[in-house]
Amino acid sequence: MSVLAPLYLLGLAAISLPLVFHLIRRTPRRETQFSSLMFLEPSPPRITRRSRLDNLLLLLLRALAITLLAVAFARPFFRQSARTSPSDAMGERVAVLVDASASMRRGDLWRQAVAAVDETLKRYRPQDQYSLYAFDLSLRPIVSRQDLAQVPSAQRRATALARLREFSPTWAATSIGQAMGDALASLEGEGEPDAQKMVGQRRVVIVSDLQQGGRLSDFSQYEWPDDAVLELVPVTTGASTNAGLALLGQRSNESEEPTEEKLRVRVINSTDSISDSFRLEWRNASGDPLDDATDVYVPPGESRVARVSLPATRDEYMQLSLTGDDFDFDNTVHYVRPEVDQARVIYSGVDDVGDADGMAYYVARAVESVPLGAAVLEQAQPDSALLTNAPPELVVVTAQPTKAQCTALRDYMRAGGTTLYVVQEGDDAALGALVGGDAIEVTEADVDDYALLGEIDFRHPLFAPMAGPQFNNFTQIHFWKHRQVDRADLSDAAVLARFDSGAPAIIEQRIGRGKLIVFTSSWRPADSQLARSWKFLLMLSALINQGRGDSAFSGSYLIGEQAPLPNGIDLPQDAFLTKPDGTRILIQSGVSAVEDTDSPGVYAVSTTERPAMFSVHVDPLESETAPLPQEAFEQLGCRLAGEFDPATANAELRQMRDIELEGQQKVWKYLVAVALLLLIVETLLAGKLSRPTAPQPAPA
Amino acid sequence: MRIKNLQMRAKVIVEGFYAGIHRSPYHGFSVEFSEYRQYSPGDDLRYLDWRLLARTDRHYVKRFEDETNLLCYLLVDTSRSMAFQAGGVSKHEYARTLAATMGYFLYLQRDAVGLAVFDEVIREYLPPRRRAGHLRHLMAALQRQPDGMGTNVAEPLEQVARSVKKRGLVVLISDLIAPTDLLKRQVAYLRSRGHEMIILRVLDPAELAFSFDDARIFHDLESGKKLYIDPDVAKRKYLDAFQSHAATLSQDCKELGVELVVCPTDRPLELSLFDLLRTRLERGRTPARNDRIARRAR
Repeated sequence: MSVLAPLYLLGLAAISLPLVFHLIRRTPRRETQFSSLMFLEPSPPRITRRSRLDNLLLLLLRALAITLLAVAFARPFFRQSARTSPSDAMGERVAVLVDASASMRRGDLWRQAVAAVDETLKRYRPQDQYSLYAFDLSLRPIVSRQDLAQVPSAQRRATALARLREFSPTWAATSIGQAMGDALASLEGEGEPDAQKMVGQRRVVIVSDLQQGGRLSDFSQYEWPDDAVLELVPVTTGASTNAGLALLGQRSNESEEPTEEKLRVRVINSTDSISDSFRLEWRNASGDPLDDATDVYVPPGESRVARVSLPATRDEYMQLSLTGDDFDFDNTVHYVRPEVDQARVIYSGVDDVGDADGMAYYVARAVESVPLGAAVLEQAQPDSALLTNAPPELVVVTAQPTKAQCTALRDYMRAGGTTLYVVQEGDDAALGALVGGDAIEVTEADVDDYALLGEIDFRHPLFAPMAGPQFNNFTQIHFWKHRQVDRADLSDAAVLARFDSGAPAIIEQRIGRGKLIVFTSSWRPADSQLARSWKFLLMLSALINQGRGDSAFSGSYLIGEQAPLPNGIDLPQDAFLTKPDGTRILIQSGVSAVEDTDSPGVYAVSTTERPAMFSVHVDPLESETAPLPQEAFEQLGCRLAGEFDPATANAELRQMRDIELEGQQKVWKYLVAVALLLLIVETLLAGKLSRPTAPQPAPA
Repeated sequence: MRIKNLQMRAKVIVEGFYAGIHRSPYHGFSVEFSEYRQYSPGDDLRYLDWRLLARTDRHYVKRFEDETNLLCYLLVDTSRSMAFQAGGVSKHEYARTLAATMGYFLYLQRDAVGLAVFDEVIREYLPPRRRAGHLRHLMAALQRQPDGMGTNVAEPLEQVARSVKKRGLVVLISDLIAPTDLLKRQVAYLRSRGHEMIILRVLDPAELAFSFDDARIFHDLESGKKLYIDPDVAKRKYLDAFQSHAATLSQDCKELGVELVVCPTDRPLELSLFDLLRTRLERGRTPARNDRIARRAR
């Protein structure tokens, strides 16, 4: 016989209570009158050696009842099988996660990780089921539970290690949180044929440098389950310095555009670094130094933005390297000099560019304001052929176009071009020709004082930059004159803005792949105040950039990011991506983004013209290599456990068996019943004993 | 009937006492010269020794032993604590027998005997008389059962001191189970008025030895308080406290010139009386008088 909760047996000590009560001198009921209690103090009841144990039977009954209750609380049961053997123990479900992110390229961390995995796998018993994963931003199986199930248990570890040795750290960033979540999900074992056997504890083992930049917070969307434990196996490099570089101003999601001949880079120094002085130097594509080095001072745990002058060379591609730390996996940024892709704006009008009362003057200023001098204005004579060379990004028409011009513009728009047409009174036929129909009536509007813009479609790219509440006030732009267009003649036209009278101010008509944007009032100072507002510059810039059409493509991406292919650039039939190591990957037709950005360096996408180049970098978070404290895991609710110990697991199994046996036998119920019975007997007996005995008649 | 009993008991005791005693405190009715004292203004001129004045031209006043018959005040405590009896006779019974005996004894000596029966206050007061029938009144007053509560000796003593004008002998019969400080003050006051004082402390043997066997509830006769007492545990402390109280009483009496005689109720009453008289004789005021008494006793 054994008990489940032996501590309750301490309750047996309560047997002493009836004994003590029996031994304590009964407080006498007899009273003695005494002259004065002035000299007396109360004396507590005490146990005396002289006291005799009265009513032994009662005492026995009481002690027995207490004993039975104490034993009942201890939950006794009878062991049926003699002992549990280690092989009876339930197998644990284990997921061993090996960090294969870029930060594991430091020193001998990977070798340490492989050794740690070996040590970890050694401890598992045949009934434990483990799988081995590598993780960086995502979790990938190295060898799964199902794979190992095919292998004899003695060879499982060797198999897993052999597979692991085929792996090496990638360049990707780390997401420990995501990996933990995915590993837990993989251990749930749902849908597996042996799912009913998988009742053991879940264990996630992480072999990693546990770097601070490991995105542990990704786990906050998960909840740590009760039946799982986390075991951390950290690998370290010892005292060392790691600093990293991040290129600024070249990402598509960064608002800042590089506008000067200085490149901005952020130098990140890890919290556990021991040095703080670094150097930045330019190298060409083959790694030779190009220019003098720049010194940077970054204290440990901080980051500094450095402005580095571009070298005098006109190389298309360069590297900026950081020196002064111990690990160089994150020390290089690749700089692809952005192509100065000049947008062309053709202006067709009668006024002179130098005339501030005309419209050309303001268009020229707006084109100049486009960043990096990326746009040029070409003025066309009213009667000349407008589109002689390659199609421009924008055509601005302020004078009535000729028939030939209308035809050319229509073709241009059908092919995807944008035309901004400032309509004048009497342009009925020209407008009709541009739209591709009959003449559209254009009349001069009768403006009392001035008109204002109302009902602006801020979702349209023309107005989108001014959608914010601090920018969207157009009430200071007065229009003295404007035309009225009979909108009924414009099929499928969208009104982008109306005057306060309700008359359309800006109309957009889709023509083929392109569009015609009709202004019913000009920006000539005699007509309106539009050209005097900064909003005009933004509107024209938006039109030019829209014409470019490749805004999604930028010069720099992070490892693992999708690089969208440039819009508006025709890919050849057999377009391919050239990776930094020279390998070529065919780009399937219809694909809009390149996904194989798995190593840092410069990538090139072949186009019909010259290749589109972009650089790919290691995630700057990988440079934060200081180790995470264990508390960070605990704060997320993870149940940390020490190393897997088969003895503990065996003890837990035995405990579970005991609980099961006890639950089946329920001996405690019988014990409580007997105890209650004894207490009833005791009560009856005590009542009988306390009743005064009837006097016996004296013998005659 | 009971009065008669008490009187008879007193008579028996006194007679037995006479039979057993060889030296009598009885010193008669006569006026005996005791000493000279220098006259001081205010003294009664009747006692001026004119002859001595004529001879020596000095003023002396004659002082007399027992200028008059003894005035005796018996103060008997009838508080509830006096009702205690562990066995045999109660303290109250003993005390009133003692008082009756003394009263009878003094009556026989033609001394004037007064009586004050008290608990917290004086319940009964008979001024000292010597007339016929006074003894009967005295016995009747003593016959009353105690019905008071606590013992407050100080208050009755103060009342006696106020009401008694003439100097005399004050005999206090009580168990004196009460705080000593107030008692001391009132006794000192009585003594300062010129009274002689004797305290007969009547105690039950159980109070003296705390001879109880087993634990029980003790019920305080005076306050009604109840306590669970195990004599085995409490005896030592009780005896210490009791003896300390007795020692304080004894010391106080000694300081004030008061005779304190402890009378356990299991002791024959005449022996207690004998002790009292013997100590009084031994403590005579002058050696001459002691000699005289001693001679007479022989």
